[in-house]
Amino acid sequence: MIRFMYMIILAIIVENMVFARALETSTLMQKINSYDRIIAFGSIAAIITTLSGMMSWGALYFLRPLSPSLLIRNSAVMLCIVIVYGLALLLLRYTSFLKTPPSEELLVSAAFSVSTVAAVFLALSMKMSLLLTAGYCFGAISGMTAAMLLVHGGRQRMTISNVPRAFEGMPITLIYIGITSMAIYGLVGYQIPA
Amino acid sequence: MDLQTARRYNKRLSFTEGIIKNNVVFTLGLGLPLVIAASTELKKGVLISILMLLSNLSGGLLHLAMGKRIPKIIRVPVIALASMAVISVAVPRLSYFSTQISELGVYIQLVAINGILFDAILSQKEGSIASSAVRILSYSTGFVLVMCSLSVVRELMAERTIWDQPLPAKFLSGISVSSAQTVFFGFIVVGLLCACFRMADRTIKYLMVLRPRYSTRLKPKLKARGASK
Repeated sequence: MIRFMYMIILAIIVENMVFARALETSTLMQKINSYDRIIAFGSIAAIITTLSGMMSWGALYFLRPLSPSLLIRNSAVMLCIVIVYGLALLLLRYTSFLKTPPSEELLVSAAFSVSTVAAVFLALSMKMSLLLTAGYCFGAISGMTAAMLLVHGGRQRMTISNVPRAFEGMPITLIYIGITSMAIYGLVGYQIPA
Repeated sequence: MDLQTARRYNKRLSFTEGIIKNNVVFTLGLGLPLVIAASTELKKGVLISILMLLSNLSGGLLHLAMGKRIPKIIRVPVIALASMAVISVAVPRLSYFSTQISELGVYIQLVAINGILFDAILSQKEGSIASSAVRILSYSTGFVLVMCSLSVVRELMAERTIWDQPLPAKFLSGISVSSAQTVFFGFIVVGLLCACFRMADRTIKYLMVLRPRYSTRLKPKLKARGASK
């Protein structure tokens, strides 16, 4: 249980998808522009990533005796993501258990976002147990969602600040993420040379 | 005269869509994770660029073949799977070329679902399939240029080498930024370059439109005003 919690915290803070790996920055700049959308995007991505991670773990577990090539391994993992996405799409189309269901476009963006694919591949590369793999996948996407909320809050404040015209929008947001990322690096132990 | 020049400038630049006009990285913000995190050395930059071109070419061709008959929600997973297969086949062959491919880690797999390819597929303003294929090509070219040039700068700053070849001792001596290969440095540099790109575009437009206007209309008036005083 302690290892499970450690894995979640590691994925949320130390190996944060946005600040430590620069993932999801394109999505942040373009599509996601409200707190509701970020939470919806994060929730869908968390469910799809955790399920895909577990399914991929199972697929690779059964393929291991055959010592599969990179092509087979990568295709199997991607196929698992596609299957989970397909199931989510069917669930969304033919059931009405959600009062305000997310759009199909958001589902596509979340299922095939860089952080979803990266979280699954990273968790599998660590060769952990099924539970820890699921914990890492869930933690990674939770950390990504928290980072996106933080950056969105910063962006909102910057819109009412007096920023030079050339820096408005994407440039200042990237610099803001860069400075926050520096703080994460400090936490990991990177020392900026004096 | 001034507006005509500006129109001509815009028309000329439309041929460089994704490269200079609306640069794929600095203006549109596509492929940012790869540019920020993987452009630490020229070899890595070139490897990512090759993978990106392979992935986008195969994805673009498949997109062209499938056409609009298949809805976007199915097109995306099919192209992602095909792109991943192409990359997985290419990686072992590229490892003969450079062993540094193993250092790219998860970023190799991320090329298969890059924003450039998916933007062309998911874009709402999609005119025709052919136009989106052209867009994929021009955007890929823009990405490769940014990726390689940024890789050169970061490698030069951090290790004072280019393509693993050390520079002469006197060249840029004393200038070494060891943090140039970190992610936070990538964020800050790309942010600054975005601002420079915008400023350059704005300055060119200003020089084309406002300066001639000022010189032809306002300057004589101001001169006349000064003379009357």
